[in-house]
Amino acid sequence: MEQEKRQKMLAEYCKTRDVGLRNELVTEYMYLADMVARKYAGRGVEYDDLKQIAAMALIGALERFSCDKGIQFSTFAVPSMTGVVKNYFRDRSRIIRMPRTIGERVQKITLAREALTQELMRAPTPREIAERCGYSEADVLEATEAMQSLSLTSLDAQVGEEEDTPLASMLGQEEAEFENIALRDLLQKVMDKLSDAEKKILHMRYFEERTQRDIAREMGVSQMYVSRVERKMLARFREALREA
Amino acid sequence: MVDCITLTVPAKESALMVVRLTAAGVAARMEMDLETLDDVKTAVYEACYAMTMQKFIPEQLAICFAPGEPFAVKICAEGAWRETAGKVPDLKLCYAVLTTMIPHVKVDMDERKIRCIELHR
Repeated sequence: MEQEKRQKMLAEYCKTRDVGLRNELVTEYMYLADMVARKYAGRGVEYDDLKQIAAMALIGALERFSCDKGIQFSTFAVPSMTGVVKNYFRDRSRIIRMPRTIGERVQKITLAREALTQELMRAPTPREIAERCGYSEADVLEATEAMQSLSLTSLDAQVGEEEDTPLASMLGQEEAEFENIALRDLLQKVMDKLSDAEKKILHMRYFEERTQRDIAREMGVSQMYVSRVERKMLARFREALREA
Repeated sequence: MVDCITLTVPAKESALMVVRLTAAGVAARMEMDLETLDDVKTAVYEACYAMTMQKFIPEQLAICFAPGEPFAVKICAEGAWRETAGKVPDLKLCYAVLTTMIPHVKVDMDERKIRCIELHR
Protein backbone atom coordinates (compact mmCIF):
# COMPACT_ATOMS: atom_id res chain seq x y z
CA MET A 1 0.00 0.00 0.00
CA GLU A 2 1.28 3.47 -0.67
CA GLN A 3 2.69 5.48 2.16
CA GLU A 4 0.00 8.13 1.77
CA LYS A 5 -2.83 5.61 2.08
CA ARG A 6 -1.13 4.05 5.08
CA GLN A 7 -0.89 7.45 6.77
CA LYS A 8 -4.59 8.07 6.15
CA MET A 9 -5.45 4.70 7.63
CA LEU A 10 -3.31 5.48 10.66
CA ALA A 11 -4.95 8.88 11.13
CA GLU A 12 -8.36 7.22 10.93
CA TYR A 13 -7.30 4.64 13.51
CA CYS A 14 -6.06 7.37 15.83
CA LYS A 15 -9.56 8.88 15.74
CA THR A 16 -11.70 5.76 15.92
CA ARG A 17 -9.44 3.13 17.55
CA ASP A 18 -11.31 0.57 15.48
CA VAL A 19 -9.92 -2.92 16.08
CA GLY A 20 -10.45 -4.03 12.49
CA LEU A 21 -8.49 -1.04 11.27
CA ARG A 22 -5.79 -1.75 13.81
CA ASN A 23 -5.44 -5.29 12.50
CA GLU A 24 -5.09 -4.02 8.95
CA LEU A 25 -2.40 -1.63 10.11
CA VAL A 26 -0.56 -4.48 11.84
CA THR A 27 -0.42 -6.25 8.48
CA GLU A 28 0.81 -3.08 6.79
CA TYR A 29 3.53 -2.45 9.36
CA MET A 30 4.53 -6.08 9.83
CA TYR A 31 7.70 -5.31 7.88
CA LEU A 32 8.92 -3.40 10.95
CA ALA A 33 8.51 -6.50 13.14
CA ASP A 34 10.31 -8.51 10.50
CA MET A 35 13.18 -6.01 10.49
CA VAL A 36 13.59 -6.09 14.29
CA ALA A 37 13.36 -9.91 14.39
CA ARG A 38 16.05 -10.28 11.71
CA LYS A 39 18.34 -7.94 13.61
CA TYR A 40 18.23 -10.09 16.73
CA ALA A 41 17.95 -13.54 15.16
CA GLY A 42 20.77 -16.04 15.60
CA ARG A 43 21.42 -15.29 19.24
CA GLY A 44 19.92 -18.45 20.61
CA VAL A 45 16.29 -17.60 19.77
CA GLU A 46 14.54 -18.68 16.59
CA TYR A 47 13.61 -15.97 14.09
CA ASP A 48 9.95 -17.07 14.12
CA ASP A 49 9.76 -16.64 17.89
CA LEU A 50 11.34 -13.20 17.68
CA LYS A 51 8.96 -12.13 14.92
CA GLN A 52 6.02 -13.21 17.05
CA ILE A 53 7.35 -11.18 20.00
CA ALA A 54 8.00 -8.17 17.78
CA ALA A 55 4.53 -8.50 16.25
CA MET A 56 2.92 -8.46 19.68
CA ALA A 57 4.95 -5.37 20.50
CA LEU A 58 3.79 -3.81 17.22
CA ILE A 59 0.17 -4.20 18.28
CA GLY A 60 0.99 -2.55 21.60
CA ALA A 61 2.79 0.29 19.83
CA LEU A 62 -0.20 0.92 17.55
CA GLU A 63 -2.53 1.02 20.51
CA ARG A 64 -0.32 3.53 22.32
CA PHE A 65 0.54 5.68 19.30
CA SER A 66 -0.91 9.15 19.21
CA CYS A 67 -1.07 10.96 15.87
CA ASP A 68 -0.69 14.29 17.72
CA LYS A 69 2.94 13.58 18.54
CA GLY A 70 4.06 14.72 15.11
CA ILE A 71 6.40 11.80 14.58
CA GLN A 72 6.36 8.93 12.17
CA PHE A 73 4.83 5.74 13.48
CA SER A 74 7.96 3.77 12.57
CA THR A 75 10.07 6.18 14.68
CA PHE A 76 7.83 5.39 17.63
CA ALA A 77 7.33 1.68 17.04
CA VAL A 78 10.83 0.41 16.30
CA PRO A 79 12.43 1.40 19.65
CA SER A 80 9.40 -0.01 21.44
CA MET A 81 9.64 -3.37 19.62
CA THR A 82 13.39 -3.48 20.14
CA GLY A 83 12.92 -2.93 23.88
CA VAL A 84 10.45 -5.79 24.11
CA VAL A 85 12.77 -8.15 22.25
CA LYS A 86 15.71 -7.16 24.49
CA ASN A 87 13.58 -7.77 27.59
CA TYR A 88 12.76 -11.21 26.20
CA PHE A 89 16.47 -12.02 25.87
CA ARG A 90 17.14 -10.69 29.35
CA ASP A 91 14.37 -12.73 30.91
CA ARG A 92 15.51 -15.86 29.13
CA SER A 93 19.14 -15.42 30.12
CA ARG A 94 18.44 -15.89 33.80
CA ILE A 95 18.68 -19.43 35.01
CA ILE A 96 16.10 -18.60 37.64
CA ARG A 97 13.31 -16.38 36.33
CA MET A 98 12.12 -13.56 38.48
CA PRO A 99 9.25 -11.08 38.16
CA ARG A 100 10.10 -8.19 35.84
CA THR A 101 9.67 -5.55 38.59
CA ILE A 102 12.12 -7.30 40.86
CA GLY A 103 14.57 -7.76 38.00
CA GLU A 104 14.47 -4.05 37.24
CA ARG A 105 14.80 -3.24 40.91
CA VAL A 106 17.82 -5.53 41.20
CA GLN A 107 19.47 -3.76 38.28
CA LYS A 108 18.87 -0.30 39.75
CA ILE A 109 20.05 -1.38 43.19
CA THR A 110 23.19 -2.98 41.78
CA LEU A 111 24.10 0.26 40.01
CA ALA A 112 23.34 2.31 43.13
CA ARG A 113 25.42 -0.04 45.25
CA GLU A 114 28.42 0.28 42.93
CA ALA A 115 28.13 4.07 42.78
CA LEU A 116 27.73 4.43 46.54
CA THR A 117 30.65 2.09 47.23
CA GLN A 118 32.88 4.36 45.14
CA GLU A 119 31.53 7.55 46.72
CA LEU A 120 31.60 6.36 50.32
CA MET A 121 34.73 4.20 49.98
CA ARG A 122 32.88 1.45 51.88
CA ALA A 123 29.93 -0.85 51.38
CA PRO A 124 26.64 1.09 51.62
CA THR A 125 23.82 0.29 54.02
CA PRO A 126 20.35 -0.75 52.80
CA ARG A 127 19.02 2.65 53.93
CA GLU A 128 21.57 4.52 51.81
CA ILE A 129 20.73 2.42 48.78
CA ALA A 130 17.00 2.87 49.42
CA GLU A 131 17.42 6.65 49.54
CA ARG A 132 19.47 6.68 46.34
CA CYS A 133 16.96 4.55 44.44
CA GLY A 134 13.77 5.93 45.95
CA TYR A 135 12.74 2.52 47.26
CA SER A 136 11.85 1.38 50.74
CA GLU A 137 14.43 -0.52 52.76
CA ALA A 138 12.18 -3.58 52.59
CA ASP A 139 12.33 -3.40 48.77
CA VAL A 140 16.12 -3.26 48.91
CA LEU A 141 16.32 -6.25 51.23
CA GLU A 142 13.90 -8.23 49.03
CA ALA A 143 15.92 -7.43 45.93
CA THR A 144 19.14 -8.39 47.72
CA GLU A 145 17.62 -11.79 48.44
CA ALA A 146 16.56 -12.08 44.81
CA MET A 147 20.13 -11.32 43.79
CA GLN A 148 21.16 -14.57 45.43
CA SER A 149 19.46 -16.33 42.57
CA LEU A 150 21.76 -14.51 40.14
CA SER A 151 24.92 -15.34 42.00
CA LEU A 152 25.59 -18.66 40.34
CA THR A 153 29.25 -18.55 39.55
CA SER A 154 30.19 -19.79 36.18
CA LEU A 155 33.56 -21.22 35.30
CA ASP A 156 33.34 -18.80 32.36
CA ALA A 157 33.15 -15.84 34.76
CA GLN A 158 35.64 -13.24 33.63
CA VAL A 159 38.38 -12.19 36.02
CA GLY A 160 41.58 -10.25 35.54
CA GLU A 161 42.44 -6.62 35.05
CA GLU A 162 40.55 -6.39 31.77
CA GLU A 163 38.07 -9.00 32.92
CA ASP A 164 39.09 -11.08 29.94
CA THR A 165 40.39 -14.22 31.65
CA PRO A 166 37.89 -17.01 32.28
CA LEU A 167 38.07 -18.29 35.83
CA ALA A 168 38.11 -21.82 34.46
CA SER A 169 41.46 -21.15 32.82
CA MET A 170 42.98 -20.40 36.20
CA LEU A 171 41.62 -23.39 38.04
CA GLY A 172 41.22 -27.10 37.75
CA GLN A 173 44.44 -27.63 35.81
CA GLU A 174 47.50 -29.69 36.52
CA GLU A 175 50.26 -27.55 37.96
CA ALA A 176 52.57 -28.58 35.14
CA GLU A 177 50.25 -26.70 32.74
CA PHE A 178 50.61 -23.37 34.52
CA GLU A 179 53.00 -21.48 32.26
CA ASN A 180 52.38 -18.16 33.89
CA ILE A 181 54.33 -18.37 37.13
CA ALA A 182 53.12 -14.95 38.28
CA LEU A 183 49.51 -16.07 37.94
CA ARG A 184 50.22 -19.30 39.81
CA ASP A 185 51.89 -17.36 42.64
CA LEU A 186 48.92 -15.02 42.81
CA LEU A 187 46.52 -17.94 42.96
CA GLN A 188 48.57 -19.49 45.74
CA LYS A 189 48.59 -16.23 47.73
CA VAL A 190 44.80 -15.95 47.52
CA MET A 191 44.33 -19.59 48.46
CA ASP A 192 46.66 -19.25 51.47
CA LYS A 193 44.21 -16.76 52.97
CA LEU A 194 41.28 -19.16 52.73
CA SER A 195 40.04 -21.21 55.66
CA ASP A 196 40.23 -25.01 55.46
CA ALA A 197 36.49 -25.22 54.76
CA GLU A 198 36.81 -22.65 51.95
CA LYS A 199 39.80 -24.48 50.44
CA LYS A 200 37.85 -27.70 50.52
CA ILE A 201 34.90 -26.06 48.75
CA LEU A 202 37.23 -24.54 46.14
CA HIS A 203 38.81 -27.91 45.46
CA MET A 204 35.49 -29.75 45.20
CA ARG A 205 33.92 -27.06 43.03
CA TYR A 206 36.64 -26.34 40.54
CA PHE A 207 38.89 -29.38 40.59
CA GLU A 208 36.31 -32.08 41.09
CA GLU A 209 33.60 -30.01 39.27
CA ARG A 210 30.91 -30.91 41.75
CA THR A 211 27.64 -29.05 42.16
CA GLN A 212 26.97 -26.76 45.10
CA ARG A 213 24.23 -29.09 46.31
CA ASP A 214 26.62 -32.05 46.21
CA ILE A 215 29.29 -30.18 48.12
CA ALA A 216 26.77 -28.94 50.71
CA ARG A 217 25.46 -32.45 51.26
CA GLU A 218 28.94 -33.93 51.67
CA MET A 219 30.22 -31.24 54.00
CA GLY A 220 27.03 -31.05 56.06
CA VAL A 221 26.51 -27.34 55.34
CA SER A 222 23.80 -25.42 53.51
CA GLN A 223 23.95 -24.79 49.78
CA MET A 224 23.56 -21.11 50.62
CA TYR A 225 26.86 -21.21 52.49
CA VAL A 226 28.63 -22.91 49.58
CA SER A 227 27.22 -20.27 47.20
CA ARG A 228 28.42 -17.48 49.48
CA VAL A 229 31.93 -18.94 49.71
CA GLU A 230 32.10 -19.19 45.94
CA ARG A 231 30.99 -15.57 45.46
CA LYS A 232 33.50 -14.30 47.99
CA MET A 233 36.33 -16.31 46.47
CA LEU A 234 35.62 -14.94 43.01
CA ALA A 235 35.57 -11.40 44.40
CA ARG A 236 38.94 -12.02 46.09
CA PHE A 237 40.49 -13.36 42.91
CA ARG A 238 39.29 -10.31 40.98
CA GLU A 239 40.65 -7.95 43.61
CA ALA A 240 43.99 -9.76 43.75
CA LEU A 241 44.34 -9.61 39.97
CA ARG A 242 43.50 -5.91 39.94
CA GLU A 243 46.14 -5.21 42.58
CA ALA A 244 48.81 -7.35 40.90
CA MET B 1 19.94 -10.58 76.52
CA VAL B 2 17.58 -7.64 76.69
CA ASP B 3 15.11 -6.29 74.11
CA CYS B 4 14.96 -9.58 72.33
CA ILE B 5 13.03 -10.04 69.08
CA THR B 6 12.02 -13.69 69.19
CA LEU B 7 11.04 -15.80 66.25
CA THR B 8 9.91 -19.41 66.63
CA VAL B 9 9.88 -21.67 63.60
CA PRO B 10 9.49 -25.41 62.99
CA ALA B 11 12.90 -27.06 62.79
CA LYS B 12 12.64 -27.61 59.03
CA GLU B 13 14.75 -26.30 56.17
CA SER B 14 11.65 -24.89 54.49
CA ALA B 15 11.12 -22.50 57.41
CA LEU B 16 14.64 -21.10 57.38
CA MET B 17 14.05 -18.48 54.68
CA VAL B 18 11.78 -16.67 57.15
CA VAL B 19 14.64 -16.66 59.65
CA ARG B 20 17.00 -15.29 57.03
CA LEU B 21 14.63 -12.47 56.09
CA THR B 22 14.07 -11.58 59.75
CA ALA B 23 17.83 -11.50 60.34
CA ALA B 24 18.14 -9.16 57.35
CA GLY B 25 15.42 -6.89 58.67
CA VAL B 26 16.93 -6.70 62.16
CA ALA B 27 20.47 -6.17 60.87
CA ALA B 28 19.27 -3.42 58.53
CA ARG B 29 17.82 -1.57 61.55
CA MET B 30 21.37 -1.51 62.92
CA GLU B 31 22.68 0.28 59.83
CA MET B 32 24.96 -2.59 58.88
CA ASP B 33 26.37 -2.33 55.38
CA LEU B 34 25.26 -4.90 52.81
CA GLU B 35 28.36 -7.07 53.08
CA THR B 36 28.11 -7.35 56.85
CA LEU B 37 24.38 -7.88 56.56
CA ASP B 38 24.98 -10.73 54.11
CA ASP B 39 27.43 -12.32 56.57
CA VAL B 40 24.93 -12.05 59.42
CA LYS B 41 22.07 -13.47 57.34
CA THR B 42 24.15 -16.38 56.13
CA ALA B 43 25.57 -17.10 59.60
CA VAL B 44 22.10 -17.19 61.18
CA TYR B 45 20.81 -19.36 58.34
CA GLU B 46 23.79 -21.69 58.60
CA ALA B 47 23.44 -22.03 62.38
CA CYS B 48 19.74 -22.89 62.03
CA TYR B 49 20.53 -25.24 59.17
CA ALA B 50 23.07 -27.10 61.33
CA MET B 51 20.41 -27.59 63.98
CA THR B 52 17.80 -28.87 61.52
CA MET B 53 20.12 -31.29 59.76
CA GLN B 54 21.62 -33.06 62.75
CA LYS B 55 20.89 -36.63 63.82
CA PHE B 56 18.52 -35.48 66.56
CA ILE B 57 16.21 -32.65 65.51
CA PRO B 58 14.11 -30.57 67.92
CA GLU B 59 10.48 -29.76 67.30
CA GLN B 60 11.19 -26.09 66.78
CA LEU B 61 13.84 -23.40 66.93
CA ALA B 62 13.55 -20.23 68.99
CA ILE B 63 15.71 -17.47 67.55
CA CYS B 64 16.31 -14.42 69.71
CA PHE B 65 17.69 -11.36 67.94
CA ALA B 66 19.21 -8.76 70.26
CA PRO B 67 19.61 -5.67 68.07
CA GLY B 68 21.96 -3.77 70.33
CA GLU B 69 25.72 -3.33 70.63
CA PRO B 70 27.11 -5.87 70.14
CA PHE B 71 24.57 -7.42 67.81
CA ALA B 72 23.76 -10.91 69.05
CA VAL B 73 21.58 -13.82 68.00
CA LYS B 74 20.79 -16.91 70.04
CA ILE B 75 19.25 -19.97 68.42
CA CYS B 76 17.90 -22.62 70.79
CA ALA B 77 16.16 -25.92 70.34
CA GLU B 78 12.67 -26.28 71.79
CA GLY B 79 10.21 -29.11 72.17
CA ALA B 80 10.67 -32.83 71.79
CA TRP B 81 13.61 -34.35 69.96
CA ARG B 82 13.31 -36.95 67.25
CA GLU B 83 15.95 -39.16 65.73
CA THR B 84 16.60 -38.93 61.98
CA ALA B 85 19.00 -40.41 59.45
CA GLY B 86 21.18 -37.29 59.77
CA LYS B 87 24.69 -37.20 61.19
CA VAL B 88 25.91 -36.16 64.61
CA PRO B 89 27.21 -32.63 64.03
CA ASP B 90 30.92 -32.00 63.47
CA LEU B 91 31.51 -29.28 66.03
CA LYS B 92 34.87 -28.32 64.55
CA LEU B 93 33.31 -27.77 61.13
CA CYS B 94 30.40 -25.88 62.66
CA TYR B 95 32.78 -23.42 64.33
CA ALA B 96 34.99 -23.22 61.24
CA VAL B 97 32.03 -22.31 59.01
CA LEU B 98 30.32 -19.86 61.34
CA THR B 99 33.44 -17.94 62.37
CA THR B 100 34.16 -17.07 58.73
CA MET B 101 31.05 -14.93 58.88
CA ILE B 102 30.68 -13.76 62.46
CA PRO B 103 33.55 -13.31 64.93
CA HIS B 104 32.16 -14.80 68.14
CA VAL B 105 30.44 -18.14 68.12
CA LYS B 106 29.40 -20.37 70.99
CA VAL B 107 27.89 -23.81 70.38
CA ASP B 108 26.20 -25.59 73.24
CA MET B 109 26.26 -29.29 72.47
CA ASP B 110 25.72 -32.31 74.66
CA GLU B 111 24.51 -35.85 74.21
CA ARG B 112 25.30 -35.52 70.50
CA LYS B 113 22.77 -32.72 70.07
CA ILE B 114 23.35 -29.05 69.37
CA ARG B 115 21.02 -27.35 71.81
CA CYS B 116 21.96 -23.71 71.34
CA ILE B 117 24.14 -21.56 69.13
CA GLU B 118 25.06 -18.00 70.05
CA LEU B 119 26.45 -15.55 67.54
CA HIS B 120 27.93 -12.15 68.48
CA ARG B 121 29.37 -9.42 66.29
